[in-house]
Amino acid sequence: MNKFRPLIESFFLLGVGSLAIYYDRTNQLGLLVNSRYNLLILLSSWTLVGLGIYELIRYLKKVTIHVHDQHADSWLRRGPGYLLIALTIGIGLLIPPQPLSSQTALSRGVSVDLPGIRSADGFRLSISPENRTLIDWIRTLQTDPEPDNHQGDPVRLTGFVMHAPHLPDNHFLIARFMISCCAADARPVALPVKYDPAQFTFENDQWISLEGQITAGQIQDERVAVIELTNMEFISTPINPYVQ
Amino acid sequence: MNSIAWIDGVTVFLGIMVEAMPFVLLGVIASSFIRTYVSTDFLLRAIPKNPILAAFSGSLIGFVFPVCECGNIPLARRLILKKVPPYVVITFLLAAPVLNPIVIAATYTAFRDQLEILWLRLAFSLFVAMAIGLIFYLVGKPEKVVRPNLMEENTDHDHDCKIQGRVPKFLSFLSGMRGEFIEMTAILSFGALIASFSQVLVPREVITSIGTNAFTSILAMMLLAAVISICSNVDAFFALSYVNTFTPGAILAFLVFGPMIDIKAIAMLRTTFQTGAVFWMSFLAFKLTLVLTLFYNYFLSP
Repeated sequence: MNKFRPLIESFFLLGVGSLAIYYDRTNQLGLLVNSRYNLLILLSSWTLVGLGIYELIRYLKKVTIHVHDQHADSWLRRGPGYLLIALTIGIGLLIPPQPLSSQTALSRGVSVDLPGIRSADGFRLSISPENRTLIDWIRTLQTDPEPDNHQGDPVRLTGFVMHAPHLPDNHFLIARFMISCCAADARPVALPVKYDPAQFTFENDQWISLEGQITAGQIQDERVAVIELTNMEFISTPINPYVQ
Repeated sequence: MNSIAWIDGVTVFLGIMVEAMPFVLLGVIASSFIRTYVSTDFLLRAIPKNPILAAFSGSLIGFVFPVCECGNIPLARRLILKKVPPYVVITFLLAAPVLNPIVIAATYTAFRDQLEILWLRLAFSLFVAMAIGLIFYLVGKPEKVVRPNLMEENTDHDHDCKIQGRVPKFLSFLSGMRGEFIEMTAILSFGALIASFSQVLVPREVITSIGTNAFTSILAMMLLAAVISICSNVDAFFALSYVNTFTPGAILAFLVFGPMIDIKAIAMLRTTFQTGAVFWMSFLAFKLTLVLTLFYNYFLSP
C-alpha cells in the first residue's frame, strides 16, 4: 500500500479537484453553492488538479523529495480515509445533485417571513408590483401585512409548488430556497396561492411561472394576503434555483 | 426513508465539499509553508513578560502561523523546545485554530448573513484561550504540565526545517501539501456525510426538540464537536447545515469548542502534555464554552 500511496493520493487530488470543474461545465454548480463563490471554487479546483498532475509526474519519474510528513501513519491516509475520499468522488461523479425538494423545505420549516432582514427597505417598496420577485413580495408583506393595502396588485412570480398541510384546500405555496453560502444553509421562503382546482392541478416540486393578484385570505385563523391565481405555465427547473 | 430525502442529502453533502475546498487548500498551503519556511525564533523575542499580555500575544500567534488543530501541536512542540513558557503555548494551542485569517475567511463565507456568529466566535475563543492560559499560569505546576520526556522524544519534525537551497525547499513545500490535503479531505468528507445525512435519518421531531432548547442544543453540538474532529478551517460549513434547526448558541458552542478539544486534538495533546493537564484543558474549555454560549442563548440572542 505504501508503495502506491503517492499514486493513489495523486489521483485523489485530481478527482476532488475535478469535481467542481465538472459541475461548472454541466451547469450544476448553481445547485450546490452561492454563485458569488464560483470563481474562488474554480481557482482552487484548478490548483488541486495542477498539484495532482505534479505529484503524478513526480511518482512516474520516481523523484524522491524530503517531506515533513508527520502523519504518515494516521488512519486517514490508509483504508478508511481513502474510502471516504473515494466515496466523495464517486458520489460526486455518479449521483447528480438536484434542487432541494419541498420535502426538505417542510422539514426545515417554511417561512413567509425573512427574519433578521431589515423590513423597511424603501427601495424594495418602490418596485412596481408586477416586477417584484418572491423576495420582494415577502419583504413588502412583512412591512405591510394588511391585505387590503395590496388588494388587486398584480403578481408575477416563478418558483416551485409546495403543498403544505396547514393550508386550506385549493391552496399551495409558491416557494424558493434562499441560500447564503451553500445548499447546507438553504432556507425555504414562500407565499400562499389560491387557485381553482377545476382549472389547474399541481404537484409538489413542479416549477411554474404564475400570474395573479393579491387578495385577502384566511389561513389558520389569520387574515393574510394570498395570491389569487389567474394564469400559469410550467417551466423547466432553472439552472440557479436558489435566491441569494 | 424515501429517495428524495436521500438525494437532498447528497446535494447538501456535495455543497459542503465543494464550498469548503478552497479553505482546505488554503489551510494546506499555509501549513506546508510554515513547516518548510518559517522559523520560530522571532517569536521568542516578541513575547512580553507580563502574563496577561503574554497570554494575549500567545492567542494571536495564529495570525502569523495559521494552523488548525492538526498543525498546532507540532508547532507547539517547537515552541516548547525553544523554551516558550507552557502557559503561553497553551494559549496559542487553544486560540490559533480560530484566531487566524483562514478560519476568519471561512467563517465569514459560511455566516455572511449572520456576522455576529463570526464576531462571537472570535471573542469567545479569545476569552476561553486566555482564561485557560492564565489559570495554568496561576495554578499550574510547571513540572506537571509538559511531558518530561519531551527533550528526548522530539523528532526531526519538531525543529525548524533544515533543508537548504531554494529549489529543494520549494519542492518540499509543494509535495508536503499532498499528505495534508488527503487527511483534511478525508475528515471533511466524514463530517460532511454526518452533517448532511443526520438530518435525513434522524426524525424531525427529535432534531427540533433538541435543537430549539437553549441548553440541550448546546450540549448536543459540543458533543458533536468533540467526536467529529473536523479541521477548523472548514468546520463552519459543517455547522452551517444546522443553522436552521439549532440555536445560535449551539452553533457558536460547536465553533468555539470544536477547534480546541476533540478526539484528534486530545490524542495529539497527549504527545506533548501530561494527562492531568490535558484533562484540565478539556474540562475548562468545556465549562467556559458552555457558560458563554448559554449566556448568549438566554440573554443576547435575537
